[in-house]
Amino acid sequence: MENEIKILVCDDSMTVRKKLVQSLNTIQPCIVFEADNGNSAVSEYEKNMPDLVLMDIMMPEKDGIEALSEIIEMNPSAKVVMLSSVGTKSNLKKALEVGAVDFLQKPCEEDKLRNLINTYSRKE
Amino acid sequence: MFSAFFGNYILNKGLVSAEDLSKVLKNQKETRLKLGVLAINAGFMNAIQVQEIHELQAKMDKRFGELAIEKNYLSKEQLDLILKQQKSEHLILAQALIDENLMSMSTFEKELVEYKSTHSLTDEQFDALKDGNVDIVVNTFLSFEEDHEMSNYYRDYVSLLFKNIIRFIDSDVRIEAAEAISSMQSPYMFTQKITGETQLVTSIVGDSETLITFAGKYADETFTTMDAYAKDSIGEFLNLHNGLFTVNMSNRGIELDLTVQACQENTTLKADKVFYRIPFYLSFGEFDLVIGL
Repeated sequence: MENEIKILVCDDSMTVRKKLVQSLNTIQPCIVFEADNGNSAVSEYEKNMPDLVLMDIMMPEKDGIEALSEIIEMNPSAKVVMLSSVGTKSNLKKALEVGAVDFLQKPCEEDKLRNLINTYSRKE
Repeated sequence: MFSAFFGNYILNKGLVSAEDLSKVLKNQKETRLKLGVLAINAGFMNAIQVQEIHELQAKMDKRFGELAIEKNYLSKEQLDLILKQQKSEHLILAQALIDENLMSMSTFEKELVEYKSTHSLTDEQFDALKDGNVDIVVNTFLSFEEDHEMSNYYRDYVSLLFKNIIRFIDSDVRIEAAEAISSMQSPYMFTQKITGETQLVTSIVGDSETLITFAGKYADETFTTMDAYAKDSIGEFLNLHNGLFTVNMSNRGIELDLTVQACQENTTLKADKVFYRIPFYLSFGEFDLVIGL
């Protein structure tokens, strides 16, 4: 269990969260935490200190960029990958400026998800 | 895709019953294309010649292609071409109909010609339908007002939706012509606005039974009611589709954004401007795409 990576999945859509959790469990054993809005994402991060965060940009109460900003403030080396349906260049630029390590366009293809996990979830 | 369009055509003409068509559509996956049907479709042989070869095959142990070449009905090059086509999908419906004795080869041949003529399809458009070329098919079946400045934008949008329906929901899909509307009543309407340089209101509209099945297919769940999860599934499909549309537009230098999706029940759409209703027919029901400025 200690070697299992911890991943926080933040998306207001339960359909997306379920699909992501299924894919993550197919890729490798992991402990997954879920959040359905930006506030919950920040508190779940603080509580569980996951190795990797998958964060939707468009969420109610507090959007993904704001939540990303608070998580980076808490832990500057946090690995946060932004997810979005809207893959415009402006969104990507904004997320990277705030501190996201990468950006994943929905629908999240399993191969791309696997690469991200391999790249960003190594224990340091 | 061809199955959905041509299947509906022969259903409307009363050549098959809805029950038989449904059975044939289900059986398609196990159907193997026969060279005779492919030779007719390619215009290399007619139904009488194919029948003759089948009768010869009953008397001697020779392959269809071998006999057809001997009778000078097919050249070696033509045989090679139809052997390559044997794995293609566009004639599987016809083969399945013939296997079920619901349609003879000559009727099939005649109906193909009539279908092409009824819909005023060019050779290119007809080939595109058979080959599953969505962009050309959507252009063929979808006509917005000629001078509508948004026509190309709408066509791109509908083409992508058609592809996403095939990818995520149901491969048996067809559309019918767009209808200009100014109001519409519906049990369920899932709406999302595309904002930015170009504004567009997009809605998936339909009855609960169809949309519950739709939601189940996207979420890979079995829903029995339109609960919060089912609504989330349809809203997320719309969001995903619109997101992919914004990516395509971004690649063309047009930056767009999306609003949060909304679900309305028993609602009436009333608009000052013209909206278009495009019916999408799936294997399990019908829904409408409603788009407007």
